Amino acid sequence: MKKSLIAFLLLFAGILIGGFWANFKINQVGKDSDLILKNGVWGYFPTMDLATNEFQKIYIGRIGLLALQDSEVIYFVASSDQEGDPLSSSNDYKLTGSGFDARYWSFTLYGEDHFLIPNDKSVFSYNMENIVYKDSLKNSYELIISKDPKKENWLPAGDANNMSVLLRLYNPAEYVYKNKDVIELPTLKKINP
Amino acid sequence: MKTHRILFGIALILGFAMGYKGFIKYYPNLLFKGAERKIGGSENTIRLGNLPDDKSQMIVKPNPDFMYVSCFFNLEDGPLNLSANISSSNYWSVAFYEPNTVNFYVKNDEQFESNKLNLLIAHEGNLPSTVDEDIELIKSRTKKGLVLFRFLVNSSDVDDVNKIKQIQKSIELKWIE
Repeated sequence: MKKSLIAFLLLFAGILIGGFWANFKINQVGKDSDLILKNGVWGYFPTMDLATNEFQKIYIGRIGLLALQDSEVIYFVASSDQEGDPLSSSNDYKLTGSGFDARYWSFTLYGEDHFLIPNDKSVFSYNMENIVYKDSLKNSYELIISKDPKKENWLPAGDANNMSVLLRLYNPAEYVYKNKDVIELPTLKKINP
Repeated sequence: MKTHRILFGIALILGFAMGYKGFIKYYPNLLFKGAERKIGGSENTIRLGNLPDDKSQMIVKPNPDFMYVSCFFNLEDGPLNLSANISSSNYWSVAFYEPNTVNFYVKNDEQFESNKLNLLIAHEGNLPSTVDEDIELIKSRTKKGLVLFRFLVNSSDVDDVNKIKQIQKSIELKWIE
């Protein structure tokens, strides 16, 4: 009887350890996994294989539940600046880039909890239509991420830490799919002294 | 004594495998259930969403450029007909998800030939014998799931927002007759 109890307790302990180990492995997906590749500061999935890749399915379920297939949209995420430091509202950042060959694209700033960051202006994102371009060809732009108001293209950072910028490219051109690793993506630099 | 140690070792390894596999397999379903609980509403009921803001805490990473329409469907009692009249020049799409969060179908406005959306969602084990020509059949591997519409909207244009609200109201989900 005592041995059966020990076996049962060991089985239960094994279940807990197995669960924790799986959770640990999934947390590693966001850190040093081959599942996420980098183009500059931007992380991306080479493929969205949620049907068969269980780790990717859970990881995306946590950070972007109900994401679409990559046939419809490509996601790029930046959670650190050019120096590799996490994005914090104690700094200002300048995101500098040019337009994309896609039907619709946007930049959205999220807090550590992956939700929109509260701010008085209710500004959470910029897209290809409402961003203020630097040139008449409507190609190049600069976005400022800051807790303090800016004249234009201001993404309010509130009091958030460990923020992330999500770039969505809906219906991008075919070459974008094939060149996720080399297409020109915006830089994201700290600009405060 | 040695036999017991082997038994204990097997129990521990078996438990580890169960815990590991169980977590990997069912965690997505728990996330989906959590979303269902937060979004609320009963099954097979259309839920119209406003433009997301910082108070939108139902699904992580909402897109503030989109107005959403969601419905958790249940095909237990047979196929469902999803219809709408979507006369918008903006991007919109309709996507279906399994309870394990996998997006198994997505189609956008440019891929539909008409403004009149007419879809039939049926479980693979209970497919209708015939489907009208003007209806697209969506085969679902699971009886339960989610349908999610995304409508791109110019949030600073009240007319555009109101137009999308009217389109949202045109969406219907009902049992086939």
